[in-house]
Amino acid sequence: MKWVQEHKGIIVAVISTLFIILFTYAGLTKLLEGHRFYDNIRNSPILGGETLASLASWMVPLAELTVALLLVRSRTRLMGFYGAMGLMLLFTGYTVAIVFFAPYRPCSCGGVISLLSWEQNLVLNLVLLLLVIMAIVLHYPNDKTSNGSHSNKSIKNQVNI
Amino acid sequence: MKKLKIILPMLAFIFAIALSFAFAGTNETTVQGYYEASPDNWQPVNVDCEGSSDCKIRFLPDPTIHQVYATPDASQPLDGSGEIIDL
Repeated sequence: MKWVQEHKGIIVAVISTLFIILFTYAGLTKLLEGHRFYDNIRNSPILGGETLASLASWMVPLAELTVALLLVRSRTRLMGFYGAMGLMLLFTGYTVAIVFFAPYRPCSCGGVISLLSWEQNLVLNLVLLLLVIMAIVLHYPNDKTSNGSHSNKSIKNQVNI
Repeated sequence: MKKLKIILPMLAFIFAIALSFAFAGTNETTVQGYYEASPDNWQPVNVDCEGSSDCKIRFLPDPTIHQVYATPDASQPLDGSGEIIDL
């Protein structure tokens, strides 16, 4: 745990770089391959529906690219991590629904990740979700410690007064 | 060091853009077709159909075999290898 605290800057940087590559690649691939992502949602046993498919085929890749851009700048990185957590929760929820509740399994989304089975995809999503939660947690102690020490100082000052 | 903190994520972003362009279209052997999920309910599907026999698919674990068509009606069956493609 001490090691993690000592290297938290590097850990957060590595996690953010990983998510920048992941979301940029996934978002752009979905936009470049056009109809494929739309067809995958249309074929989905859970979602389906023309309106939802056309909406999601634009919203999901745009959200992924926005999160990747938020992660690039250090000022907006925390916001980016929250966005990444939201997207990962969405993807994990969808994968859980496909694995455990769907009447049949559709072909997966394309790109390199299409080589994985739905179970492997679920494990990958859970690992990524844990990583993003870890990044958010590691982002916070800085503020908390500074605020905490500040409040401790002010309490001491108040006591002294 | 401060510049590296900005340059590194930007490099990762550019690298991912290049990667997505490099991989886009590598799965283009698939064609889009339609199958009749239930009577008069046509659904689009991407399948790797090549050959001069029938293009047939199956959504496991459902054992029902579907013929794939070029349009959402039964007028133009797509050609495939004749083997049932499991999706």
